[in-house]
Amino acid sequence: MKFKFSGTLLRFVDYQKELELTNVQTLHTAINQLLELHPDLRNIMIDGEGRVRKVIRVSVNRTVVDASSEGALKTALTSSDEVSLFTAIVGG
Amino acid sequence: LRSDEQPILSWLRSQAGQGATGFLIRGGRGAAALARTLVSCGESLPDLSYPLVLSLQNSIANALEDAELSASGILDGSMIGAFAYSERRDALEFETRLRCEADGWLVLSGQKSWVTVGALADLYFVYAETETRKLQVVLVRRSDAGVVVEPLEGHGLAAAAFARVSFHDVRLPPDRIIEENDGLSHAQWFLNNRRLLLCCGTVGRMRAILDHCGRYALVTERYHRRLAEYPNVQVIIGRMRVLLNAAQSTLDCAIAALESNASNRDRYWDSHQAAAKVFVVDTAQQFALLALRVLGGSGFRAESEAARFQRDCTGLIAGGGPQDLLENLLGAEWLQCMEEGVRS
Repeated sequence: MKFKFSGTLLRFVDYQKELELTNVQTLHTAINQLLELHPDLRNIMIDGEGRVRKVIRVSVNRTVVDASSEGALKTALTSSDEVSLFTAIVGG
Repeated sequence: LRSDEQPILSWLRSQAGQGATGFLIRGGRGAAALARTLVSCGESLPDLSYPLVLSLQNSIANALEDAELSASGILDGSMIGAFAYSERRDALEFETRLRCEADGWLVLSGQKSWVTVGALADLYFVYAETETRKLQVVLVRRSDAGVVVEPLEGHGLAAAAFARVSFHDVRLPPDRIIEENDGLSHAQWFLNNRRLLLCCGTVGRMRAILDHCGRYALVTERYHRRLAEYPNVQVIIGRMRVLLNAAQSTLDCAIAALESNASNRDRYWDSHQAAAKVFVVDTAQQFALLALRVLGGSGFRAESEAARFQRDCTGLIAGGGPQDLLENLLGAEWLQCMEEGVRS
């Protein structure tokens, strides 16, 4: 499967627009692999309870899912699937 | 710092008496009514701080739980709240720290570099990192021991009472935590809802300035003719009208989108609101320069409403997220949608 990054998160993946992962079964395992490869992502992506922060917009094959819910994390992924992450973090 | 003789405080109390501090409670359904009130405030008051601070009180009230809200005094205007997020760094990094003591109490230390209405506020939403790098949000009262408030003077928005607020080992009971696990999302939710509201007063002010320029052109003579008779002045007034109509329409569309799509919109990044903020603030600056061209030297005097407007609207370049960053994110989101064949 392939991760695609846009917005504030790019800085934490060395400005790679895409990242390919193998041996991924679910959205949950994909996110865990991603965090192992880019540990700096953890603090921005994951909240104090270990869930994906609500501010991270996650789309699986162009459909937005609530990745903070356990149900969405069980989504099965195959090698042709794409998971897009968009995050807008702004001060004020 | 806080004196009840401050005009903005008595004005806020009078607005609160008419229910204007609680429009947004329960999911933002009152956005249209609040926007109308803020536009009207901008039209009738020469200082954009007034609608800015009123909109902020609505946002603060909206973010408080029932029990916190009833104790806060925000709704009746007896107390003022402020959003204490920004430090001298990017929006993801914090030096303000929160640690938990053995007795369960919290200890807050750090500094927020720029807090709108911070010099007058009674309570602050403070974003701070724990020892385990959780970003939490705590409610801090000005009266808590160790809170130090230093007023800062802005280039405009004179009554917005900007301040640097420092926290020197401020001890807080555990029930002051507003958000325990995801302060980052909390801040983005808070700011997302603010973008549209903070520029409503600007549109009202543009209406008032256009009227002012029109009156000036009708009664001022140059070379034995009224300014209003010169085609170049008519062109400038016409251009100002175009900008005003465009800003008003953008605001109306974003408010309609907010109200009609309340249940399924992205609560953390609403591109309608972000685009409206960027457009209204940019337009206001072009508009202010045109007003100065009509008014000439009289518009440049410090007490001129047009000069004040020019100073005030520059304060909104950074408010609710800097223009450049918002445009960057709007562009990135659009390109991602195009790449994926989805229309944003």
